Amino acid sequence: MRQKMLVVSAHYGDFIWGCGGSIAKYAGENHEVNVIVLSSGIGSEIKTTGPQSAHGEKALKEKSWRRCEKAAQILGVSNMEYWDMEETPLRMDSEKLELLATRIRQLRPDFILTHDKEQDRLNQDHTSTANALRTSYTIASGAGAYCMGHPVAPRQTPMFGFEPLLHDYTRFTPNLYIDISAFISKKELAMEAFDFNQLITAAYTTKAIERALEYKYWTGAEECDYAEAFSMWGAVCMHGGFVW
Amino acid sequence: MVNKIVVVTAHPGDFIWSSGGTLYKYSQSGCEIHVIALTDGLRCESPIMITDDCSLEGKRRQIESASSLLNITSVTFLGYDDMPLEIDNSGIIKIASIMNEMNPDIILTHAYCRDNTNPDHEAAAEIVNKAAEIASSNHKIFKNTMRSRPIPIFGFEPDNPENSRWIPGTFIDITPCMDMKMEAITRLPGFADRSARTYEQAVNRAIYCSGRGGVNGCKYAEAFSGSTPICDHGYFVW
Repeated sequence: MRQKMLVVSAHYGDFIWGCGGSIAKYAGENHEVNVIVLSSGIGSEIKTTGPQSAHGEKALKEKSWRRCEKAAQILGVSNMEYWDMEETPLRMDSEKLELLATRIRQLRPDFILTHDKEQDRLNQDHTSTANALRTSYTIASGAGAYCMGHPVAPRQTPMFGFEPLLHDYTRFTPNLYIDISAFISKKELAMEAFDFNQLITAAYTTKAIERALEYKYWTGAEECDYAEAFSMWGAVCMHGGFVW
Repeated sequence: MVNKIVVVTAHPGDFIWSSGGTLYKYSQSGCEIHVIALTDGLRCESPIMITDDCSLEGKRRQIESASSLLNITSVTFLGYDDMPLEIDNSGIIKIASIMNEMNPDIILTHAYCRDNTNPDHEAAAEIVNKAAEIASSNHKIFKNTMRSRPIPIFGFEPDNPENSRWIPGTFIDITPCMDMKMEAITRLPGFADRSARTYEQAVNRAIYCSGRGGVNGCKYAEAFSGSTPICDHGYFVW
């Protein structure tokens, strides 16, 4: 059955690094992939090459957004949405939380990928995004919330968290692995097209190799060269049985 | 696909209260279920002072009777003493050999967490984790050296989950199996309070399962913790 995935990314690059391979896998199997990017992240992601003037900042944001769109196209994202919010700090006020809940009701995704539920002390915007989702999916499934009249979401949508850049400094626990060996070339192309921060790109390539070793350990599979790890926000229910 | 489950229970009744509905659900789809009872629970799982009715043989008969209702394939009584449950290394290797021979898809046992109301449960979890690790290895004593991965282990909900830092990882809707589970529990006479608690907990867990979990029509559920990440499934699953 065709599934609908919603990815909510604090900054331009987060969804490419955090779940680019899984997006390519789902898109490649004809599932619908929707991405909401809340802000640019140029404030927190480009520390050394940041713009020196307001005009430079605007130009850099635009250039980076075009690269981000290009990367999304490579991965096969169906719909991209950019909210152009202030970042570092990213603040989701009640109006934006309501808007995010409204989008969840409109899109009615089968599941949501976003930042990990545990605090990311090294990037407050990631924590803010996770917290915003926590509130918004509650609003989306609260029958008394109006949300521009869209029908209430049938349940609190299942959520999965990206592996943070510096996972050892957070309480991220990998609960689910996706084998992305067949899609790593797309992910690498996308990261290259985005061309934002080579250190982060290198880190996520290394992570995928490490996670693949763990994947092979857990599954006993002979083949898996690259994998992405995710945390789970809730327990497995709808599957109906034991799953591993 | 789960074709074979090995259930390891510290005391013979534990697995019925904790997983009776789920086991019945699996057995109905043709899954083999083998139960290993580490102790006979004569000290802590006897409803009244030892009498003829809850002698060793009497108790084992009750468990076999309850198990047959749930379509359990086999029950093996290892006969260790309970309170405290202690199994030495040679015992652990023996359990590992049984697991290796049975080669289950998954193991179901007590959750790998503190249990302040019954230390035998946490002892059992530790024994099973050790044995499963050995059973998954290519240890020279085993006939079956084909396993190349850790056997996934799922944990029973403890009696007092909040006191045990226990986190549910999987909820299983047992609505159609609830009657049979309650019927099986009646085969262990004298546990009216356990029976009531089991019922209440299934209702309680169904609230999560049918609400947040989105399982429509779920009235009774059992909860389990998981010890291994989800990999084989290949997709996001909830």
